This record gives sequence, C-alpha cells and structure tokens, in this order.
Amino acid sequence: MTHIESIYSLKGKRVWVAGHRGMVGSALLRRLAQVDCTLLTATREDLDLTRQSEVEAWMKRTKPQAVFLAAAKVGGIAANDRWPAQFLYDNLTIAANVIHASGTTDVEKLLFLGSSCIYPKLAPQPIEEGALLTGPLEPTNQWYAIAKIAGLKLCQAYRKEYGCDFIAAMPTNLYGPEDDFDLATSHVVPALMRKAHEAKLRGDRQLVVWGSGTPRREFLHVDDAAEALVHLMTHYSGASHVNVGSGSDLTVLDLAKLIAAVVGFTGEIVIEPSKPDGTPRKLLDTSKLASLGWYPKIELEKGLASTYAWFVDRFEGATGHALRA
Amino acid sequence: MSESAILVTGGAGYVGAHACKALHGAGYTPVVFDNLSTGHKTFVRWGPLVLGDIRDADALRHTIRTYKVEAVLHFAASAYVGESVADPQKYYENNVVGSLSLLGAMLETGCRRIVFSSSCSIYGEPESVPIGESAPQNPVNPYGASKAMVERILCDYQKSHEIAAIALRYFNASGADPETELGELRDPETHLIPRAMMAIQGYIHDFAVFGTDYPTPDGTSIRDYIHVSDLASAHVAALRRLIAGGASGALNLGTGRGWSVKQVLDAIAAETGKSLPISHAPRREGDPPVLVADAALSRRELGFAPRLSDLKTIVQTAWAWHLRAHPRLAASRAGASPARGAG
Repeated sequence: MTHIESIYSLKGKRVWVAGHRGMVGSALLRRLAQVDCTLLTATREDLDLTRQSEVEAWMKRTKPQAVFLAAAKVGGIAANDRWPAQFLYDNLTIAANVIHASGTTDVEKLLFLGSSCIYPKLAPQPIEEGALLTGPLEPTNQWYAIAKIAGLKLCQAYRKEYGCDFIAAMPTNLYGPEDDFDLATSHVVPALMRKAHEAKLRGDRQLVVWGSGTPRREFLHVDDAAEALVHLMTHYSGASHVNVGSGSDLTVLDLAKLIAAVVGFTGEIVIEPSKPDGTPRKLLDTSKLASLGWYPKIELEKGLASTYAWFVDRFEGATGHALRA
Repeated sequence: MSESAILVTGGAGYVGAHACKALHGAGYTPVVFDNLSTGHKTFVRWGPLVLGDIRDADALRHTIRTYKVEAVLHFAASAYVGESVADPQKYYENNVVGSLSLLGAMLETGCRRIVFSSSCSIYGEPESVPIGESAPQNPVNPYGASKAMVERILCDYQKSHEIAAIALRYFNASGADPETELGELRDPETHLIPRAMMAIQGYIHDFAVFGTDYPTPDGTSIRDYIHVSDLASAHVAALRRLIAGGASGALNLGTGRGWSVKQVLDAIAAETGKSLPISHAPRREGDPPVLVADAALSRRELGFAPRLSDLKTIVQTAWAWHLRAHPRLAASRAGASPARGAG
C-alpha cells in the first residue's frame, strides 16, 4: 500500500543471522521465514564467533550475502559488573571478526545490532542518534556499551574506507518470546511477569514493584524489532546508526498494572520506594526510523499477552515450583 | 518534541511545506506525514518526517500518539486535475479514502481539530463572480469532486463526532518562499507560472496558452492568484482559531482580484527581462473564463490579509526560486503536459 521504495532486496539471497538462538536472532528467523531467501545459521558449537580464523573460514564456506549481526554476550547490570573483561572482550571480538570478515568477503550488506545503552547516562530525552559520545556512559554496563559503540564505529569505518554497505541499529528495551525469565538476571518485563504469575498461583494479595514505580521506560516487542531490522536492511543505507523503538514510554507502575491484568493477578500492586529507581526516563527518539517508513505494529498490551502465553507454554506446567527450579 | 505538535499530512509538498515553515515560525512543531510520492524530502526542514501513506490508519494513529499531536493540517492529496479525469480511482482513493483513514485515526486518538486543504475547484464553473462560500458546488472533474466530498464528510463529522474543521478553499496557489527555501517543484509541471518560467529557462519547449477567445478584456482566462506564504499564514490562523475553540466552517483563500494569463505572462517578462515564446491552443473543457474569490469572509473570520499576493511579488519570488531550483528533472519529463491557465 505504502509508497516506500526498497533499496536492497533479500529475495533469493543467502542471509546469515549471527546469534540466531538469542531473543532478537530467533525473532529475525521468524521474520525472515516470510522472505524468499536462504537462511544461514551456525550454532555456538560449530562456530566460535570470538575466533577470527573460525569466522573467516565459516564465511568463506557459506558465502553469506547479507548478515544480521545479532550475536552478543548479554546480561544485566550484575553480570556486567561481575565479568567486565568478558563483556568487553567477547563483544569486541565478535563485532570485529564478523565485520572484518564481511568486509573482505562478498557480503553485500550487514546490519549490526547495538543497544540503547550506548548513549550517555544523562542524554536528553527522547534520545536522538546524535547523542552518541556526548557524555559519560552509565558505569555499570559500560563494558558492553563500549563494545557496541566500537561495533557501530567499525561499520562506519568500513563504509568510509572500503565502501561497505554496513549499517547499525540501536534497539530500545525489547520483550517477547525467548526473553530471560530468570529472576536473577531478567529485565523488568519478564521479571514482573514472572513475579505476577507466581503471585497469582500462590494467591498472594500483593505484588511488589521495586522502586517508586515512577521511572518511565520504553518497550518494543521483539517481533516488531525484527521487522524493523529487516526494514532497515532493505530500506536504509547510511553511516549514522538508527534508533529502533516504540516511540512512547510509560511508568514502571503502569507497566506493572498492564502485566497484572494480562497475567490475571487481581491483588494489590505496591511499590517499594527503598529500592533504587535508576534513571527517571529512557526513551529513544525514533524520528529517523519513522522517516524511513516504519512504525511498530504490536501494541504493548497485546504484545504482553502473547508473551505471557509463550511463557506459560514454555514453562508449563507453569507452576510456581517448576519456575523456581 | 514540542507539546504543540501539529501533524501535517502532505507536508513535503508545495503548500504543505510552506505551512510547516509558518508553523515553525509560530512556535509549533510540524510533524510531516508524507509518502513522498510527489513531495520532496528536502522540503521537510522544520520538524520530523514520518514516511507513510495517508490510507494507512495504523501509521497515522501511531504518529498522532507518538508525537502527541494537537491538531492536523491535511494537505495530502493527489492534485493533478487532468490526471483525475483519466484516473478517478486514484483520486477518490487518495483524497477521499485517505481523508476517511485520517479522520478514523483522529477519532481513535482523541485528536479533534483539522484544517483541510480544499480548493476553488469545488465550485466548478461559477454562475457569477466573485465566488462566495455559499455558491453552488458543481465540480467538473474528480479532483474537485473529491475535495467537495471531503468537505461534506467533515460537516457530518462535526455534527456526530465533535470534530472541529476548517476547510480552506484556495484559488490559485502561486509564488515561492521569499527566502527561496521552498517553491514549486512538480514532475510533471502543469501550472502556468512555473511552466512559463521553465520555458524561459529553456527546460520546456511546448508552452501554450489555452484559450485566447474568452469573453475577457484580453481574451485569456482570469484567475485569482494567492501567494503560497499567505496561504501558509492562513493555515496557522485557522489552526489558532480551532485551538481557541473557534467555529468550524469553509473559507475562500484568494485576494478578490483577478489577473489574466496575459497579464501574468507580461509580469513574468518584466521580471525576467525575457520574452516568452507563446503558442496558442484552444480552450479546455472545464476551464471557465473567470475565477475570482469573494475574499471577505476569510478576512473577517481569520483576520486574513494577503501580504505577498500582489502579482509582482508572486512573480519575483517564483523566479528567484526557479533560478535556484533548476527543475531539470521536471523539464526532461514534462514534454507531454500542457500548461494550465487555472491551477
């Protein structure tokens, strides 16, 4: 319907999704299954992305034409804090190996996936792409952020020096299937969903939300994110990275209410103001993505409902005990 | 993102882009929604561009919510009169269905104010001039009919949905931004002033005047030319009126004074210092001898007074734009389309 011209077609191409077992990578596989292309994947056992020779040999053998670089060592604040060397080294080498090998083989296009943590801690909200490197990072996950910044700079450098059509996308907080529901490491959506689910099963009267409940956060369903990444792959070519977000935010308390409704938890939602809040607002400016003709299709409430259905199905017979194991 | 974000559909087009500049000057943030089918990305300079199709209500809804849009200026439309006769489906789809899609998105998001880009073509061949707002509507082509239909739809929505709407019926939009940031740039070009200037620049070689036997003093047809920056100011005035809770309605935007094609060409020759090779062609169907607005109502209701709509300023600004814009692309492909005496 829309008069939006594609500048690169994935049709008939050999497309490598690096990191296909991750949350974004698996969503990309679902999305790319609708495209007439040959999907290439490698398991961690077949290919260690931190080993340059392995990456080069694999790419020479499989000859990908388009690459989605969604592989990364990921984790929350605690994990970053505990293993800074691993977060920095693994993510640097994955980016360097795949981008360099792509630049020296017949890869026509590459999309590097970053994260909104690349932006300065005190960046003005909503965060524009131009806010990159204008101030200090959030110290807790700077290791991961520095590696992602290096990755997007590599894309720019290979574009500038070799004319490679490498682009970079920075997604906001994602949620959806294959998310991490382990309470020790999970982010806010799966954490609240699991807590609400268990509270419902136990018949608790209260669901506790950490902090004041007032921080505002932005969430995007991972299937929307995958669609946006494919859209960027086919509709964007440029040195600047592109934010991928939903364009709107809500308070953590409102999120908790939505999740409680989706889960069917009918008790009271209480805040615990003694716990830390984090930054008061985090919202990406998605104007650039909008100017490329993409907007999210999955409303938060519906996305949460389908995510909850996936969660119950995956961890079924979703008793609280099974989940706590 | 400003709190006073205004959605401007078709904001990458000729009139829409001038309106964006005026909105920006008045302290609003124009959020352009355009599919760039005829608009220009380079015209979007005073706020974000959302690339989308007017018939995509989901995209519109998302845009209204994301930017917390307070009101809408609706320019998006197909606007070639001749093409509308050949391809009415396209005109009713884009102009009528597109407007319904927009109204649906507005209703769902609680955005209730709209300024609609209408046209004097809804009057068709008038029974008398100057043409007042209550003159009969007898459009003679699908373009004009599509504009009349949308006006009617807006009237109905005002009654049942508390939509506040002002329809602005332009006469001949003309001229260019006095700072030469914007101007006419169509492919193909069909309008009198840009075509005459392109002919002088040597980009087109088939410039013709349609009808030299009209019952007018010099035999050529007479139109009411209104400067595009004046149109833009009128949109800001209409928007302010709606935001202030003012009444809905339909208003002419013209000067109340007409110029013949020959007078316009003389003014162009005077401005450019070059005479124009003119070939004469027969009248075209649906081109009445005289179209001039009764401009009293917009003066009274909007306090609208044209500042740049004298013929000399229109021609001056248009020529400055043409010298800068060099519409070579338009020139290379415009061979088949004749000039229009009426816009």
